[in-house]
Amino acid sequence: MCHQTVGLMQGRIEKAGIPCVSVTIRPEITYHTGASRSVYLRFPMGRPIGEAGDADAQLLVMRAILSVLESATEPETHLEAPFRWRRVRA
Amino acid sequence: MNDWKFKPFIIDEKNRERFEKWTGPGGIAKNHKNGHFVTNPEKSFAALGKPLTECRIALLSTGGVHLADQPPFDLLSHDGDWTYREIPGDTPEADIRFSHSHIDTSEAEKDPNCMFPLTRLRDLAGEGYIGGVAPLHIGMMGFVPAIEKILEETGPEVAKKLVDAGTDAVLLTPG
Repeated sequence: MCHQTVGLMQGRIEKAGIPCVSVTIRPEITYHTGASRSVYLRFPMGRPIGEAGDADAQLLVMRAILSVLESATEPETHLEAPFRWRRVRA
Repeated sequence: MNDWKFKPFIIDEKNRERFEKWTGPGGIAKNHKNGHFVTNPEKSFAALGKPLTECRIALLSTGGVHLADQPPFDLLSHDGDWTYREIPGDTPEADIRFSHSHIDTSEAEKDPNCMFPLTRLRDLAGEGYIGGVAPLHIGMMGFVPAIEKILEETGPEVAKKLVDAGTDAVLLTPG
């Protein structure tokens, strides 16, 4: 449900003219909402940006996600990020 | 900019089966009679109007984010809680709280950045990766079977507030 709520909010904000990118851990649900841009991370629920206390890894994840705001040129751009849980490295 | 090795996410047979589990009789409808899945009525796409290095970014999380002095979300309602909390961009990390009916928030309570990365956003503004931290961010609790409330009330209302706050782009995280 949470992923659907994200996808639907994303649709409404995008409609108002603000570009959005969402993180998803349940990509099949995000895909179904028709969200504008999403990045799939194979992370556990409750920690979509990474492990508690690991600021460097969180920053790396954030840079990757935000880069999609610039790189995506088409609606419904759904990507999988090249990170694995507890192995977030460039 | 880093050359991230993204793969396109493609719906394959496994994903389709997984989705059918959510939508089938043993899925969301089993415990929540109003629970169902929909597609956005309009698939809007706004292009980024300027480089990321000039953009003020806002966060929106459905991880049950609110401030210590704001009411927590309703965790008992069968229709969910479609209200939202306004989180100012200069909120100290220690003031961020989480209340959610369906996910484990213990890691986010230890470090809010796992779910609501406001401090990380400040770090990225400091290093010049983004233009700045937007003045307004949004906390929600994502368990909302009452989908029409999101589409007709919360969605448009939040979108207008973000526009009025001069937001250039939004990063959303799921609860």
